[in-house]
Amino acid sequence: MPPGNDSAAGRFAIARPRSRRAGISLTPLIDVVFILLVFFMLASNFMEWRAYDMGTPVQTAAAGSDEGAMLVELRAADQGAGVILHLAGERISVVELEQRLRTRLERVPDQRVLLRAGPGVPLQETVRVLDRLDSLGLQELALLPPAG
Amino acid sequence: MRFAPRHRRRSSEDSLLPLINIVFLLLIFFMVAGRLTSSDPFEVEAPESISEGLPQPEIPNLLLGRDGSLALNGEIVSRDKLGQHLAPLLDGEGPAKLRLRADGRADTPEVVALMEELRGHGIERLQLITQPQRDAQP
Repeated sequence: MPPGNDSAAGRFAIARPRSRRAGISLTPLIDVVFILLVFFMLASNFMEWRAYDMGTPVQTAAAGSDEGAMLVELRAADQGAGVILHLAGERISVVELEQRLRTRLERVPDQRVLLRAGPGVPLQETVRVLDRLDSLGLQELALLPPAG
Repeated sequence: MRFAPRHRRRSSEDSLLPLINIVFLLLIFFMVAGRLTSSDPFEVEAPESISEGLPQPEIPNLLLGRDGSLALNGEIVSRDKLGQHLAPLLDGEGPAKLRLRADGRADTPEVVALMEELRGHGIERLQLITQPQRDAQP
């Protein structure tokens, strides 16, 4: 400790070691902060998940009879991407299916629709069809396992 | 005369201050905005959807990979031992719920078959996890 706290010269004498103490290098701090930053960048997840609430297929299929339900079949396209939709055995486009369902829903608001995907149809395609049918306001929409 | 060295030292630190500011801001952003989650044991690309429903966080999470591999709550399980692993997770009250995150490239009949199997294990409500569309489609 330098002597003479009360003199002006003493004040200057104290000021130097104090400023040296305050002058700890910032580099270790930056190192640590960088490591923390890299850790949080790598470990954190920005994924936003959404969900479709569904009963399991057997449950929904067993909940009511299949009487009066519309069965939409999804089949894999022979070549290229996409799926082919079949309604009651005939090929139909998504837009056409939407129109038919819309007119049907005006008369029968609780129309059940069953969706059956054949082998080779990726889940993404099924979800895409599910999206379009769901946005029509269907109350009963079920996924069915393939026949047989 | 005394100010000269102090000023020189400060200027070398001053040049670092904007860097530290930015790094701190980035650090706080990632700490606040990101969520720390354990990484998946295998890659699962959830199907894109316009669904607005939000998944429930506190229910068991089942992953279905493109090749049919399964992981329950982050641990890989084999298909035939699934029920065994699922049973202790389902003793809560209310309907048994499960989040299913299946790969969008997986075959739909396989996913539906798994859903049926889950039903057989006592799952009553299932949430199919999707992700918002990355590029809006017309």
